[in-house]
Amino acid sequence: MEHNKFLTASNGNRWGRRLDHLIPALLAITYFTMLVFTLDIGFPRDESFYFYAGERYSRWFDLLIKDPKRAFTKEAINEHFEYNKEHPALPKILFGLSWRVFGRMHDPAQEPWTRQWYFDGDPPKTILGIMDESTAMRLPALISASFLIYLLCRFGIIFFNTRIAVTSTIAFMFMPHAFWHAHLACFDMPVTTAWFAVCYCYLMAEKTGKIGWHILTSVAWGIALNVKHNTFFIVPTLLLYFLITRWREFGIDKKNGVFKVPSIPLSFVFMATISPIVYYVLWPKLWFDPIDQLKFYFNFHFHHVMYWAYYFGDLISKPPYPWGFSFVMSAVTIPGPTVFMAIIGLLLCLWNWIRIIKGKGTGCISNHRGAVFFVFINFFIPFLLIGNPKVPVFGGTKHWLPGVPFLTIFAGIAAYQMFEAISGIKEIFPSFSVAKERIANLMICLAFISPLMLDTFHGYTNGSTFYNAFVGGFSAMGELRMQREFWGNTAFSALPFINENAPVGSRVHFHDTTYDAVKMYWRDGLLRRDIIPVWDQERADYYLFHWHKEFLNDEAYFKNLVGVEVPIEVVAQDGVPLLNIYERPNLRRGSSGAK
Amino acid sequence: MEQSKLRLVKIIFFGLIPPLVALFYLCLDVYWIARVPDKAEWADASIKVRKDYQDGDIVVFVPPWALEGLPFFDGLKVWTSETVDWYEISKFSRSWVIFSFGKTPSSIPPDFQEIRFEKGTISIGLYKPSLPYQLVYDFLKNIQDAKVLRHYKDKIEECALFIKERWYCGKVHPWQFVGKETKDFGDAVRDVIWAHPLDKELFLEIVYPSVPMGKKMVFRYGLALKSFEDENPGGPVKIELKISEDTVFERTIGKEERGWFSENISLERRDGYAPVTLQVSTTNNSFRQFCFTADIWR
Repeated sequence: MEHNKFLTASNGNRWGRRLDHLIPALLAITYFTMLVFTLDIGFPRDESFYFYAGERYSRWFDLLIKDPKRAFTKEAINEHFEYNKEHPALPKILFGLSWRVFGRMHDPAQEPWTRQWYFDGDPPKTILGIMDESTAMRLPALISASFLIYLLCRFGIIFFNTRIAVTSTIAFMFMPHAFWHAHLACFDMPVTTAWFAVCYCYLMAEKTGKIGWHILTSVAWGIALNVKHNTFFIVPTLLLYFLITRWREFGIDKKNGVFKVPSIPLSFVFMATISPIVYYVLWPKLWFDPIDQLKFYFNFHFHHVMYWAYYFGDLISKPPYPWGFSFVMSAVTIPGPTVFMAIIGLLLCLWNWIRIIKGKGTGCISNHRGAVFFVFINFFIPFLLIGNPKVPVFGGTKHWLPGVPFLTIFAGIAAYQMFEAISGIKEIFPSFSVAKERIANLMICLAFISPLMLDTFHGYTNGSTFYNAFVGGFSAMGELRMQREFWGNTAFSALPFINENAPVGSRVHFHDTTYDAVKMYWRDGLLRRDIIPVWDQERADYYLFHWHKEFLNDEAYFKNLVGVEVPIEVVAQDGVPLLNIYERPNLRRGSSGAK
Repeated sequence: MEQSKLRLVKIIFFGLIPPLVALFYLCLDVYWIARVPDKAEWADASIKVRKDYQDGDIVVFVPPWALEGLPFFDGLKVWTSETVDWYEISKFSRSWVIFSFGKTPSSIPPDFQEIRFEKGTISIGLYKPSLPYQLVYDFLKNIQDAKVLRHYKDKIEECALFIKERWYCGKVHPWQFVGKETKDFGDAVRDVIWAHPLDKELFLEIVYPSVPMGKKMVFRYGLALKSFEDENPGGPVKIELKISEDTVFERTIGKEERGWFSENISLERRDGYAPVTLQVSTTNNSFRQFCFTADIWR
């Protein structure tokens, strides 16, 4: 691949430069639209905790307005930010503020029963009230995911070319697991955006040398640290990149015998100085007890409770975890064409690199030396961290999401080569005109986009349970005995049945769904208000059993307890049960009940 | 010429193969989605089964995970575990097998004779076990016949409290009992006899005083899946099975040894009735969820 083929589409002209911003913006807006129209996704356990945290954290801003002096006291900080202190506050602050501004709150004067659904029994006043409460909470996450799309495309345009940028961005946009996570008021997609943003800034700083980008790198990292702890690993990743790409500059100076090292990037200097300040400022829990809080924080994550993962018929709950878990899971949960193209892209880059080492190649895949390696390690390291047998595996595919946008760049590189090959047809067959080439390119785009769109939109409510068609699609959950849902969100799909059929005052065991999630279902009008949530099989009239391998004994217990063999309703995806609704026998079934 | 060849290879490898892979993938995608039965098809299948269903029959799904239609089979005996345990199915007089997702009768073991088969999007087969044996004694179903003893260093304690198919020692306890339980063993959730061992090599003894003899005894056993969750599980579990005074089977299950095991024990030298005794012990009984079933066949 020759260097001059890798200039951006703009080639420096004004209209081209506009396109270089317009295309990423359009893709980001498209993604945001996709997200907004597919918000019928249940509330996973962790998201419900962050809803509650957002609500509580937002109250601090009330205090800030009312009594700013008191707001900055240790007592006030602890009162408002103690909950969920095992994660930084920034995302939850944003969720909470968005909820306050945009959310349509209930008014206890009109609906007295709604008091109990809110923190302290005190729902705040509606401000704009233009969206459901859960949508308002999720809005910052939707925006951050869309921003990632913008950044990914811009990155591709700047360091590769427009074709690579657009194809890799589209590959990422249509990834069922990432798409599903992008809806949630959680940290996994925001941290993916954050990681990417830091890398974008770092490489821009390296490319341009401008001090502004170095400073922005440090600010981005400070913000990233305030999203989730994955971003601590950006430092060794960048260090590795620096050491390997600048290894020739290490050595002994022949003139004076002094050991020489390459100049330290300014980004590192600012990351060591500015980032900690940003980190400190944006996390209120650090203001008064930084040492204690950080000790608690690191200790919590070093000794994180191990959940389960169901993987090819094995229920994994302790080390050693399977080697390459992250790689295998991505291979089976990313749409097949993207996996195929990513592998081709990786091999292409490897082949190109070998040729350069042997002195046979002169081309550089990117217009910035080291960019391909940079992309590679930012894909590889997040995957490797989880693919290690000592690192717990749970939570589906979310823990190495930060590496996935970089992986799609390799798919983009393969796609570029594919279009180049099509373009080369006319050199052998001169009758292959430009018009024919365009038609061929369009057909190829359709051939790729159709399955990606089908994979993403078919069953998007249960996107975290997607497996690609190379392993049987969703049926892989049953056929290959793989993880089904893992996070308690499938109760969402059982609510219509409960609303329609459960007698008034029915006690429903929500199983893996949390009380905070149930409160949000009430608040959004998705669950009848007379339904009584219980997490007690002995008392339950209905049991919403979430199909997790580790819970099958609980299902058997309930069936034996009440004397039923089969559920009254099954929530399934492509025929594979995700949730079984059990009803206590002889319970009167009716449609009565008020909201 | 070389350049042309190289270009042609590039065109084929990079230009043609990827779109063909994408198209093939799209076809696969559509195929997997199209073969999912809808609710009407499940309802129709259940009506066909109910028409000729008899007491003593069981309904089995192939593949066993295809249980979206389960509610339509309410009131019938159904097998709902992740894998089909055809041994357990053979205890029923007939099995209705509901085939979906392209599965065919080739997955039915040869021990089952087809009575009839109706092909469709959901195919229905009716089978009966064609084994030359008859089940004469099921230890789980006859748990009330068992005598449960705890052997301590200085005494033997009889667990004489029998409540809801379980023998307790003195008082009801969540895991110190011998009796009916339903547990996941990794491949399937099964109805079993729970026999959690005592600690430190004291042993649990389960005696069935008068078991009819036959052709063979099928003894099945294992540690429930929960036994392996902790990083420091308990010790190996030693089991010894005796008929009268003869030890017919003994084994030590390793502390990380997962699975549901089966042992066929010949009873040809025996007739009439005989006591059957199982002793279970371990060095460390932390999460040692030992369970078993046993059946006499004639």
